[in-house]
Amino acid sequence: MKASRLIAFALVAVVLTLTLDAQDRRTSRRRSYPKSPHSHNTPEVRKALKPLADRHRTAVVGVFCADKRVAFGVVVDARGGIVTKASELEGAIEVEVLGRKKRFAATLVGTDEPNDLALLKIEAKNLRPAKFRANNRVRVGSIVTTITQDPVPIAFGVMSVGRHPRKPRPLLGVQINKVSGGIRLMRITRRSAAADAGLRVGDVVVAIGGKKMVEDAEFRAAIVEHEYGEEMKLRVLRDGKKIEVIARLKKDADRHGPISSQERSRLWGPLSDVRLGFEEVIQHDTVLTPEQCGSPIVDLDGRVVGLNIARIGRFETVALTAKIVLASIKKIRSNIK
Amino acid sequence: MRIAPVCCAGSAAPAAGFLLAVLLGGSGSLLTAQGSSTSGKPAGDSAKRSASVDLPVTPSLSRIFAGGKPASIAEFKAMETHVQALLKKILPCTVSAGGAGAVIVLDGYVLCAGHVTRRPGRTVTLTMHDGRKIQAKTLGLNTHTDSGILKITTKGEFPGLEMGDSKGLKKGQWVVMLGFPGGRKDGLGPPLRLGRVIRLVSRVNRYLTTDCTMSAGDSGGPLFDMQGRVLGTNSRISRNLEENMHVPIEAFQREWEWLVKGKALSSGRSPEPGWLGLVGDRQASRATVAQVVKGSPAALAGVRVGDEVVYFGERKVRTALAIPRLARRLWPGDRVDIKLRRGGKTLVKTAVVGRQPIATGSKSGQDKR
Repeated sequence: MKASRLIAFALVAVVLTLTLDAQDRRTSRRRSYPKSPHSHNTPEVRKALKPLADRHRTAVVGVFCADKRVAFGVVVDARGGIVTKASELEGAIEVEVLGRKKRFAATLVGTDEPNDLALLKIEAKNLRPAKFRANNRVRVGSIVTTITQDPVPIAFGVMSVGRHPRKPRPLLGVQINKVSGGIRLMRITRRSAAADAGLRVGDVVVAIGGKKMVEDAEFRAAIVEHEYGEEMKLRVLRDGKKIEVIARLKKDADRHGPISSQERSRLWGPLSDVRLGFEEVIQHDTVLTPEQCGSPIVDLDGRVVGLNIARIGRFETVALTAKIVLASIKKIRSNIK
Repeated sequence: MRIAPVCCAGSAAPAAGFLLAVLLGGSGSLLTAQGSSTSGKPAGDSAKRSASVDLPVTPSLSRIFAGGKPASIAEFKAMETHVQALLKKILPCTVSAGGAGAVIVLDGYVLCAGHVTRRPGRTVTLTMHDGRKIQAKTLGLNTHTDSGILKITTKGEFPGLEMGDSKGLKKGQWVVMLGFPGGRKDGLGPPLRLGRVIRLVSRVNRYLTTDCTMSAGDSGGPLFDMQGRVLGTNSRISRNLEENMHVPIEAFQREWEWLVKGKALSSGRSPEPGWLGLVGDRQASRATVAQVVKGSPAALAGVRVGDEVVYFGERKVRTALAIPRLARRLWPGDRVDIKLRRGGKTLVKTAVVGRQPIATGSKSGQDKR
């Protein structure tokens, strides 16, 4: 009998180590960063921030689509209201609440398109909501922590850039080719700013706003210097005559924003798909993955000061400010009434 | 390992375009009004240093900054307060140069990256933190270390920061970094990064590596210690997020007088051979000193005629032929330990490498600067 008990014990031990091992491997693959023991974001350094996670992690949920976690979400009321990143959602949505065994099926209450925020609803009671509070106390240099369901904040960083909008880019709506004497318009998008201004295929743009156009890059840079809705003066050569055209730039529906070739090659991991168009964000230097967005950022005083909304660059993560999150929830709720 | 410079590689059109426009627009003549600039090394006591006041640091903070970790939220908070105070000190000296960054140090000199300044003699417009535009001229650079400096040509008084000590750094030490990824944006300062030293400069590694994550356009931007002293400038990155490489300040300090003169260097070696002032005894079977030039670095270190050189730094010396060439690859100003045998005893003398006196009838001891 003793022998059989021993064997049973050994079996349990083996099974345990195997599962632990698998888990370890999974987490280590997901968290290949930070690697160096000297990195500022190692678990040893973050350990001291545990009280912040203790206080807020119950309000953080995992958001799943097709059995894959696509983002985090934050509980905003005790009866099942949850905010998360809208563009990551696809198909049926499930929500994992800390301490509840089963995932909840979630319904999409509504979205705030510009801010890429979605309001979900789950049939659950007695949830612990997080309190977003509009305040101006975080400023550049403030330390912000990203809280998920983990017992320790998954990362901390400093606020790199203060409150600012991430406006959609201006769009003229042309395809171009460099020719001698300027930039030739090869194609004009229907209903674009260029079409509205009466620009035609074959026109050669000599100058924009008084600046001579030689290279393609100069042309693109001249557009980006403007904001959408602004007027842009073009000097155009058409049928041998120089004419002046004024185009009112439109919003670029593409919300990816500029991306460098290095980023395109995904050398340092994927970025979020929607990276532009937010009304007000703060930027911090915490390196997150796109599926870690939708998580709250908490300052050292324990205030929920924002919601991570996009990884926009190698180090740049932007978070919607608490003010925008609150306004957004209000907007979505008033839209459905 | 793929390493990419962090300025020009970004195809973010506005930033790269702007940088080119600024840097190519230069037409200034090179090396004219250099008379007033001293060629002394910046590491020495410069009389015209900005009145920099050290920020107060508690013992617990100084323990953290030296490579420790905050043990509580209160210590994180103290660190945050310190960083915000530090920011006030470093922002006025951090300038943007088109699609890149730079920092003003003593006497209107500006530290940047060599791949940003690209060649001596260009006129560059720098934008200060308050939006003021000033002119500067690119001086020397080193394409090997990627150091590059400029001198402000616009008249006026400018703030400046002290240079730090990149040789004395330890892994894990906390640092902050500024730069202009994607170009300068009106009304928004350069994004602040906080990090720690990951890898030190060594014989095989010319960059200082931190985990202050950089992005395209960060080139030339400064790295600071927690007192706001400049530790280096941003140079390049690899695919590893923790591999953010900076030109260490020691690369600037070592080459300072050549950089100031507008020299374009391209190696890690000294542009002028180092000199000790020793002549070997060719008849001797061992590395015996036949002559010590009066007032030379060797003489000042206490080397005498008849001494036998055993070790020069870590290098074993076997024959007298090697003696005159010993210091050639070193930089003037480098310190080196010379192990000697004198009358049966072994001595170690430390010499400060000098430079060869000018040949035409010069007296010895010219290299004391």
